[in-house]
Parts: sequence; C-alpha cells; structure tokens
Amino acid sequence: MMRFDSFIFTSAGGREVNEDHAGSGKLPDGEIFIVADGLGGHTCGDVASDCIVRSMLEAPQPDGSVPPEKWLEDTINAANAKLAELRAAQNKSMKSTVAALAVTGGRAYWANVGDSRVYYFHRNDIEAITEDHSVAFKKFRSGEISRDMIGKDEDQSGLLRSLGGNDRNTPDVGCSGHAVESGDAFVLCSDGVWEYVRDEEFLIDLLKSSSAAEWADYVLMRLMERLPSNNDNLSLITVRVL
Amino acid sequence: MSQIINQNILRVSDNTVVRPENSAAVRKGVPESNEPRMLRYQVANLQGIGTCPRQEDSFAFVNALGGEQAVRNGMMAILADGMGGMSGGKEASETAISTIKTDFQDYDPNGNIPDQLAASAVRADKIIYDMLGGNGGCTLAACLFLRNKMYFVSEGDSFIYLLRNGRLFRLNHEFNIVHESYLEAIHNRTVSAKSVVHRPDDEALTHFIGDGSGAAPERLVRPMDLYVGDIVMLCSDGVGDFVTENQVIEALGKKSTDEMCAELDRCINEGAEGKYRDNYTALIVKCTY
Repeated sequence: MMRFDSFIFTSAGGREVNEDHAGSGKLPDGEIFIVADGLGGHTCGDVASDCIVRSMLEAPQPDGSVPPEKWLEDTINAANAKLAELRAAQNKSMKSTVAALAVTGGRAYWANVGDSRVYYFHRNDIEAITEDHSVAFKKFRSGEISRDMIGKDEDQSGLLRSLGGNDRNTPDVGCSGHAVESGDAFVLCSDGVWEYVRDEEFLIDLLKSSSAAEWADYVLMRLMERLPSNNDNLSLITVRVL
Repeated sequence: MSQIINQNILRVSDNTVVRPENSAAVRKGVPESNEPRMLRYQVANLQGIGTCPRQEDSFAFVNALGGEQAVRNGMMAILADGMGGMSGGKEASETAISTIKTDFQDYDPNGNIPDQLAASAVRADKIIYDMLGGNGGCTLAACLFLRNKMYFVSEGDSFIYLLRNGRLFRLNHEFNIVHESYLEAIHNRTVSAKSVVHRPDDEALTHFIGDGSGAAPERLVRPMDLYVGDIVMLCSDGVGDFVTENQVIEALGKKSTDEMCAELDRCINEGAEGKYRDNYTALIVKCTY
C-alpha cells in the first residue's frame, strides 16, 4: 500500500479574498491532489475554484474500466461541466485553472489547465513539470524570454486555457511512465507560488526536508523574501512518497 | 477517445548543465566501466578584515589537494563567522572549525553523512557554549564533497551558494529574527509582505553555534548531485550582505577561482573608503574533471 506524507497550504496572500482552493482525497491504493486558482477579473473566482476541487474529489473513483490518465481527464472535464452549469445558473463569469495529481496503481498521473503546475521529483532530480497554458509560457517556448522571466512577463496573466468556458479548456495529461518509488516527491502550486520560486529551488528545499510540511516551510520562506505588497493568492501542496 | 499526450512534460534537463560523462543522458555506446568519472575540485579563498579591529572569521579546506583521502572520504570546505559584539568571536569560530575538522577524520563515508555532519555541529555548539557560557558564538557553513555529491550543514547567517549554468541559487536560509517572523506568518497562513513588521534587529541571529540549544542545524537530508561547471561558494555575511547576487554571478563567471576571488574583493572594497566593512571570507569550489 503506497503511503504519502503531504501538506496543503493556501492563503489569500496580499489580497482580500482567496480565490484559490486546494484539496486531496483517497484513490484505490493512492491519492489525488488538486490545486485550482479562480481567475481574478472574472466574478466569483473563489466559487469557481471551489467547484472544481469539490467536483473532482466527489467524482466516482477509478475502477479500471478506463486507463487512469483517461479517468483523470474525464474527471476534469466533468468538473468543467459542473462549473459551466453553475455559471449558467448564476449568470456570472466563473473561470479557474486546475493542476491535479493522481497516484494510483503504483504510477503517477497529472493534468493541468491554465498556469497552475505539477512538478515531479525523482531520484534527487526534477523529472517533469507541466507546461503552462499562457502567453508568457509561449514566449518562453519561442525563446523570447527565459524561464525565470515567465512570472515577471507583462503577459503572465494572459491564459490560453481555463475551465469554465465553452472552449479552450482541454487538459494536458501526463504520467510518470514508470513505477513511483519511495523518495519520489511532487509539488502542485498556483502561480502565486511559482512566480517567486525557481524550479531548482523546489528541489533544493526538498533535499533539506524530512517532511512535506518542512519542505513547504522552506519554499514559503523563499517566497516571503520576495513578495510585493499586494501579492496574489497562493496555494501549495507538497507530497512525499514514503 | 481523446489522445493522451505527453507534450506537457517539460524536461528541465533540456537547458541544464553537462552531466557526468557516464550518465544516462549523455552516454553513448557501451561504457568500458560502470564507475562514474569523479569530479575534481579547484578551490580558492578570499579573506579580509574590512574596517573591523580584528578578524573573527575562520575557515578551512580539508583534502583540497585531492588524492586518495579526498576520493575515499571527500573534501570539506568549512567557514565560521565569529559573532561581533559578543565575547570570543575569533575563539568561537576557530573552535567550530577545529571541531568539524577533527570529527571529519572519523567520518564513515559509507554511513549517514547528514547525521554525522549534524552531530559535529551540535558537538561544536556544546563546546563553545561551555567555553563562553552562551555569551558568544559563531555561524557555521560546512560543505562535504563526496562522490560527485554535496552535503552541507549550516547555522547562523553565512551563505552557501550554488552557481549552475549562470544561475545563482542560495542553498541555506538564515537563522535570524526576520526569518523567524516569516515562519510565524507562514504558520498563521498570512503570506504577504504586509504580514511581517520589520524591526531594527531583524538581522539578529536566533540560532548560532554556541547558543547551547543543541538545536539541529539546517542540512541537506539527501545529497545534491554536482556536475562539471558547478561552482559552490561559502561566504560570511561580510561578503553576502555587501555584494549583490548579480555581482556574485559576474565574479563566479570568471575563468579561474583566483580571478573569482579577486573580483569579489574588488566588489567589496571598490568605492568603499570611509564606509563600514565587516570581516569577509569566501570559499570557492569549482567542479571540474
């Protein structure tokens, strides 16, 4: 039975309302972890992100009838449909990102829509990071800006995909491709975290930590050194495979 | 049925350092040996008294010249900054260095390195506390380089940096009042610049070697892999607080470790006549073959 040490942190940051939500739940021989960032500029961002996280945690468990990555994709699509229903019922624009990690059957599966991220750390290295669906990330991919500048770019808030709309909401899905091992680790976070913490710094702080909570403390201390006065909401989930 | 794509996986190694020659990423054909090629280390140090009446920083390299000892037991770089304004700063820093060096002779390189390093720091803490009665102490930054990996312990406000591919990373954090405030804000879930009230004594240390607390130092619980081209710098706050990170990047970008030290020295002292300068010490370790 796979065991995890995980820590969930979410905060309004320098804003009045926290429009992020984060949560976790059990899966067959595993767990699911979810971060959702309600889009500011759209009313009810907090309602949107809450809807996504709740829907995914309340979704039917994977039963082996479809591959786990398909289950994860379907679960996100179903959450998107629920958000669309809510939006129509309240006649309000509601949009959210999502970053989700499902560890089940000994493997890890992740998915994202928008610019919340999943990081996978394997054998003391960064194995994989999800790609943002944003204009700034496209500029990085084209070589116009460096990776370190994605969070500082003027187009950083320009998303190319999000949940809650009729289109441009397709999740990207990935998997570990191999069995998850003891010592493996994951981070899920909204842009309010990764804007201020570089990829390698998540790894450095993992290598210093004996628990998921300690790992989060180290990461958040870096954040505190770098924050502007009105910093965004932030959500962080650290997961260590025991 | 929608196609599952893996295009979202970003391989960070696409734009990172050259890895040791026999790593899976760059291996070609069948290697003659399964033994990894061992890194060698070019080292240099910089030290100055600043405008202080005496030098209270201490440092040491152990096994820096390489050889069988270095291959078997590793190489150490150790730095301690005696606390000014308290008694016995120089005595404290020298004692911390000698304690770590002595313990290192008995380390088991196949044992738990993080635990051994932490135990040495705790032992130094007790010795200095007994020596000075809690009225003095020092910082500590100690790095062990073994089999292409690095371990460290740290306490106080000295700096441990890694320069990799032109990008600078601070490896350790500071044990001072402002960082305690950060931790308190984090635990209160108020992560914003407004949640911390800055005080004149923000930089005062909350933990140091000699405070008698026996508290575990900060350390790498798992080692960090090192690659050719990596540069590790340990320095006292007389460097870290007086030189910007961009200046550090520029200095560590020089060709030789001696030139790196010369550039750091220039950054600290140029145009600083008449201004306060702390004792300053930097230890530079460049990874090469």
